[in-house]
Amino acid sequence: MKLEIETLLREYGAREKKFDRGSVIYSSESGVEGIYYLVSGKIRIDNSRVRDKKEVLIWLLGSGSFFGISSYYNGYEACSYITTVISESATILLISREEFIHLLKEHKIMRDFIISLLYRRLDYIEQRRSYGPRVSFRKKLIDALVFLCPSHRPPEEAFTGKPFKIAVTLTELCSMISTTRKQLVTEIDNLINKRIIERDGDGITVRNYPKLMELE
Amino acid sequence: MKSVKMDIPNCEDCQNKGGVFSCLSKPDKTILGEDKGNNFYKKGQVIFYEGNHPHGLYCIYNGKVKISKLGDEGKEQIVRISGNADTLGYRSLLCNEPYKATATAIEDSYICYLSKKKFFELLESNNTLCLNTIQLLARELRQSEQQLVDITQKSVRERIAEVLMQLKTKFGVKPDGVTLDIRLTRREIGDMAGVTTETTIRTLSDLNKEGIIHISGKDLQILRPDELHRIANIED
Repeated sequence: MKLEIETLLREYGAREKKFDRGSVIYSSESGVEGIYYLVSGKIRIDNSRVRDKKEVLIWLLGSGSFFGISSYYNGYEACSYITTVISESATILLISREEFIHLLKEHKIMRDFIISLLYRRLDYIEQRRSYGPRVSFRKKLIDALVFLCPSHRPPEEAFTGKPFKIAVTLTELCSMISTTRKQLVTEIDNLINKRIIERDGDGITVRNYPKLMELE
Repeated sequence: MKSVKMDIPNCEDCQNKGGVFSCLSKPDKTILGEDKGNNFYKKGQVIFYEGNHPHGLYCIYNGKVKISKLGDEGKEQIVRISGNADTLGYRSLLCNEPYKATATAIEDSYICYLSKKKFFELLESNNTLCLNTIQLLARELRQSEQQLVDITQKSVRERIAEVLMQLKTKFGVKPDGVTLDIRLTRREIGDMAGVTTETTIRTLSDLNKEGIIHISGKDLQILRPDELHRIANIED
């Protein structure tokens, strides 16, 4: 699916751009140039809507993700987002709004993909907004892990108890769910002891997704 | 749900503007309206529940509906308030998943029910409708992102002020020019702002004392919108 999307984007004139760690892909100063697709690497999107206030992490996205849609698709070139590369490097494809709309008009596969992507992002962000002060830490962690899967949902095999990997560091998870490393490690170790997840340098392997969801 | 024969026009004659179906031609609206049902919901009646499976689409002809999720400890969190021409339940229908929120009429409302089959037929054949739907999703996503930031960054006073300004923008005011054309409880205003009911009451009372708003029962008048806009710290 990923390859199909990349091929389509290039057919419709998307330009490839490469960025190093720490580079800003777009910000409120540069504005949004089009719609972006992350071929490889990882980015974080922060929003600083209120002037002079600290930025808020909105999204952590990995390869195969579109971004800039919510700003640019509706015609907002200026935005209050800042998008930064957090992996060693990142390669993106940048497509103009007009060509993106052409692409959507002519390819159902792309329409379906975008609808599903927007739906899941909306679902996750509305979940985050609904977190009260007493929401369980475990729930926030599980919601974040699900969101961080490619296409923001666990693969099909997860539902039959087969393991799958999520590429995320502890630092990134801490940012995502606004917690300390200590609290996160305690909960992660808890889940490891229950043999529900495993952790290595690359990320987290969910060994038993149905069991993880029961804990929520 | 009560089915009531009422004077709701066919889709091709509907005067509501701005909804996702406004891009359709008259013939396409006629197709959409085949198998359409018109329903009346009394204030407080639920249109659909979080967790149930969608079988069709709802379009508000006249009325106001709150969309809410059940948060932790069973606390209701209002996601948004929908009004005339807004569609409900389309997201879950598109992705064939259970509803992620509950829709409840907050005043007597007339709501059209559109067939899932007709909706998908039109989506397949009408690119503009499909793009409009994607645009609607993208707009809702942007709004939700901004609301998340506001909850994190803005003070309670700023958030309450922003909610009042948003209600004014979406629902307008009554003919007197100042009274919001929507009645919400203090709890509902607080839910939208991510604030407790007690704090909402206190903040509204402060704004009332300062002469920026005037509260008369559930009616809320915005007397000084420029000042309220300033307090809300809304970026233009």
